[in-house]
Amino acid sequence: MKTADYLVADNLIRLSFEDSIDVKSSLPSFKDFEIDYNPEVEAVLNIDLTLKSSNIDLSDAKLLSDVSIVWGDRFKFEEVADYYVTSVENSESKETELWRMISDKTFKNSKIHIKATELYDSNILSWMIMVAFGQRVLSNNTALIHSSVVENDDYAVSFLGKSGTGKSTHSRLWIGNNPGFKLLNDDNPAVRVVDQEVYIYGTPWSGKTACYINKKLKLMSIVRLAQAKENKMEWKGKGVDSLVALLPSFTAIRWNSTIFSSMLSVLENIIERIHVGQLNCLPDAAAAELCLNEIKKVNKLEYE
Amino acid sequence: MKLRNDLQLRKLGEDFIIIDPGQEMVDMSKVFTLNETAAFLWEELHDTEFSEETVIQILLENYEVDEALAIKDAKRLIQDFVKGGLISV
Repeated sequence: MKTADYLVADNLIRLSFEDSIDVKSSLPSFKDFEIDYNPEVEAVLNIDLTLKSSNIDLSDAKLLSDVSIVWGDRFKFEEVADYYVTSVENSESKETELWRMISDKTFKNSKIHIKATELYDSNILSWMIMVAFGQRVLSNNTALIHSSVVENDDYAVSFLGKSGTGKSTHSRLWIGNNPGFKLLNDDNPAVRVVDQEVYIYGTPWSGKTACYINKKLKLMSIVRLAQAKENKMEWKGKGVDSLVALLPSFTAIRWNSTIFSSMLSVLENIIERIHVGQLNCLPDAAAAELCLNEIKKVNKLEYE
Repeated sequence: MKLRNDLQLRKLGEDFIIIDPGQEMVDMSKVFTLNETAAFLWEELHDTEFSEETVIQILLENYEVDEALAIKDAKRLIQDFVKGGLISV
């Protein structure tokens, strides 16, 4: 057995795997996040990788979801007595022809059964690690969010919105029009609350954009984007309005009340600490300029 | 009747909220906001078996209301809780 340690958003992921598995070739986007193995430090999540097929009995399994934007009908999320089972492949597939992750109910320990023919030419391994990470780290004041993020070395701004709203487009408008800003992550950054601050981190997951930067910044504001005929910013109240703006972009499995309430606690902590806004906008430079100005105003950055 | 014990009242800023995570395949989670009186009643009624009479008594003991209004408010509150699926039968 070999091991590899990765530190993502200050949460340690420890992979253990059979000698014949070349993890580095399978997980190129994790390169920036690898750290030296230290047996004294306990990992936040442990994942075993194996080429053997699983023999888990799913005859009593409860299907929780087979809805996935990424995998379509190849995806299944099931529950048995002590485990959650995430599978990628059609239900008719033989055991050796599918990807299957078996996780304990806290997602602290998972075992991924690899489909050997797809190990090096798909991103399924990376995606499965993301699924386990996203659930597990909620108990550690951390959340993976669906967002595009820009930063200027001092601070970062996170954009939310339904798929197709124009998060990536808006990030690119910032990069082109607001001097000093660059992309931190285009799809799945992680946020973490530490004392009075909220930080945002690049991760090994960034959707279709290859942007896997290991960097931590103070998160200044979160802005939900909505397409509109004219540009207008609206700051949300620090109660239910902010919650409703954030909730759809966070992911906790809804079937586990412990994990779900950890997510709500992270959300509460974020809302207490930073401003949440909604930018009704056109896909133009003026939208990016207005957004930055509003963020400077509400955070009193002009006077520093 | 009883309030669902899997739900938790939270205070967020100035708002009292209850979030009901949908259990279906497609996410149909709901967010409820409660006014101060409804939030107070939620805490009082939580983990107890109660009737309309219980709610009326709590209102009469804690608020400056006459009986007619307390009855009306209690009916209304229970109706809202039932409609929102917040009461387990």
